[in-house]
Amino acid sequence: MTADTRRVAVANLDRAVAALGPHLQSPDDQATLARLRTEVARLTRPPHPVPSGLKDFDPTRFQRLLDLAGPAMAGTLLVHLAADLARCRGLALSAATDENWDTLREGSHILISLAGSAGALSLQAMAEVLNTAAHARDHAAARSVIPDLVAETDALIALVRATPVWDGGAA
Amino acid sequence: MKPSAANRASILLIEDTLSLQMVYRSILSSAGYRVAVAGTAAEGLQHFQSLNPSVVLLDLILPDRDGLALMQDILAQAPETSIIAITANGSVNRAVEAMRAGAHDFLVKPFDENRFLSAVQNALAERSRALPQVPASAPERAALTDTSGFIGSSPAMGRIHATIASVARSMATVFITGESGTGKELCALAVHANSARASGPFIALNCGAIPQDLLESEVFGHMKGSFTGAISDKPGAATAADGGTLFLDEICEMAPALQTKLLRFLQTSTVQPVGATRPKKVNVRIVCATNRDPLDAVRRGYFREDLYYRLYVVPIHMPPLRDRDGDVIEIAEAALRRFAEEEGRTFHGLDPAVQALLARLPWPGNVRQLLNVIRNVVVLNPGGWVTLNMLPPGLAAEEAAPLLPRPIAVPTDDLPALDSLVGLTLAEAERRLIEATLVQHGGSIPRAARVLDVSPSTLYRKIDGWKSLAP
Repeated sequence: MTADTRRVAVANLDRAVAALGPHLQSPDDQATLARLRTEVARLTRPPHPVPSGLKDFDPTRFQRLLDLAGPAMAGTLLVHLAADLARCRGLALSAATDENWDTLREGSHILISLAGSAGALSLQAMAEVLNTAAHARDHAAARSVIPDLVAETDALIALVRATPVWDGGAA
Repeated sequence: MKPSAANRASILLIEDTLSLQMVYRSILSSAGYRVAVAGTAAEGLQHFQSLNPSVVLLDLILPDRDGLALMQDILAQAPETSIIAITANGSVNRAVEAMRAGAHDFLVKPFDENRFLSAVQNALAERSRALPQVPASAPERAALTDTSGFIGSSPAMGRIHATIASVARSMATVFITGESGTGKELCALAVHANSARASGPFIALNCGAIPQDLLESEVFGHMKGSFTGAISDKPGAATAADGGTLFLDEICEMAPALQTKLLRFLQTSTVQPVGATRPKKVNVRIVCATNRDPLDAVRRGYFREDLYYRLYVVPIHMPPLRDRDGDVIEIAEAALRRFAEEEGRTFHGLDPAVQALLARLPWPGNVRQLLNVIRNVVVLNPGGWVTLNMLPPGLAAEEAAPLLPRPIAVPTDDLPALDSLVGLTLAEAERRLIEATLVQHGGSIPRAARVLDVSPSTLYRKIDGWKSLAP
């Protein structure tokens, strides 16, 4: 499907959903309509390029995160997200060096959630490995995962910072 | 469906990561809830005391205090509060601790929106069902109100009653273990009967008794025409248990493919009948049981580890009858009264010699075996006092058998030196210990199992395993 054909098809879908609106009254139907509108809105956006440095990235999750915040708050969310990721990065690096297992557990715990919510699936998996290592006080496992984890965290931070706020879409 | 403005429930979110705070708050606000947010345990406790929220979403890792300790403080102040613990995948055991300490449910990060909202809705529904039964001055630990089916006042059963009373009101999954015939289904019924969902259905399904190829359809249902023989839509046990309790007996016998589906069901609270195109949301509490050692089943690869951790939240071990001091006579007398009434006979009670014998026997078939003996007596005898000659011949023969030896402490000098075990693998050392115990107990697996504090079925499986390894 070419870009033009896709645009036309999505526009048709958009009109069909709009035409359906007045005929859906029950709360369940209204909820379905809201989901349809969200999905059509997502399809109207240009496809996300795969950000460099993130091995397994799900752009729909990232977009969903921004949709949840809404246009008014998406910018604030991105700022907080970048700051939270940077904090996790710092905690992981220093705690792994100092073998501060409590801090390592805390940092990896937050990173699992941030990475998973943002669609950085390989980073999430690495954070889970780090969290398990922190619980087991497994120094070797923790150290082995840190370099890749830091690199992917940096890539995700870069993506978050580069995401334009005006449309809530990924760079 | 969004809550109406008049009954918008208040929710307290305690989460220190700002971006996650924003996301969770957005999801809850969009769904129509009033949300208060705290970034520390201290702030969370302050908000809790001033707002009295219906549900608390609590991250277990907080900067100023352990989330579990905060949860215990909240429950001490307001035991009826529904707390949903939030944790990360690597620390699921912390979530399990939280459930045991009284959390209503737990979420493993990162979770999807539907699972998040479903957990909150279930917590609110559970609270609204529970509230009329919980007066303001209710004690922290409720007493067991419905003990029907549970006879016995031994300390072992007292502990079981206390555990059921403390977990019944939560959504926590209960995992019941115990030998065959110890009353695992009665225990599951007691959990249901004492919970806020007692008026809902209790659906029991024996995973070991249903052919594996029909099990998925039995649990999740099917649509007409989805496979040969599916002549009409069938809801399935999970849907039938909506609003109540689903009891999965012999859970370790479940096929691996279905274990994956059960795990998904537990994570999403949705069921998708065979042949259906859309999943359906249900509100079900899971209670499961097995007479096997579940951890052993995990180690052997029969049972998924992640499913085990999902289900093994509140374990209840039903004691064998031989460990329930005094309960044998109590159960036998109650059964005698009930069966006599059913059969239209008049029995006065158990002769002292019969009582003494019943109290001594090891009862490898547990309560079920005892009930069968009493039923046999009632059916085959006209009435009066139950005497030794009325008992089934097989049982009377055991009277002459030597009594079960209690485990006797052997002088340390007689034990084989530990040094002789050094160099063996753990599995080899275990095998030697089991074989030596069997020899000491004349080859009796139930007796050896008792001494080793494992179920006889565990020993049978291990012995079968050795046979399969033999050249």
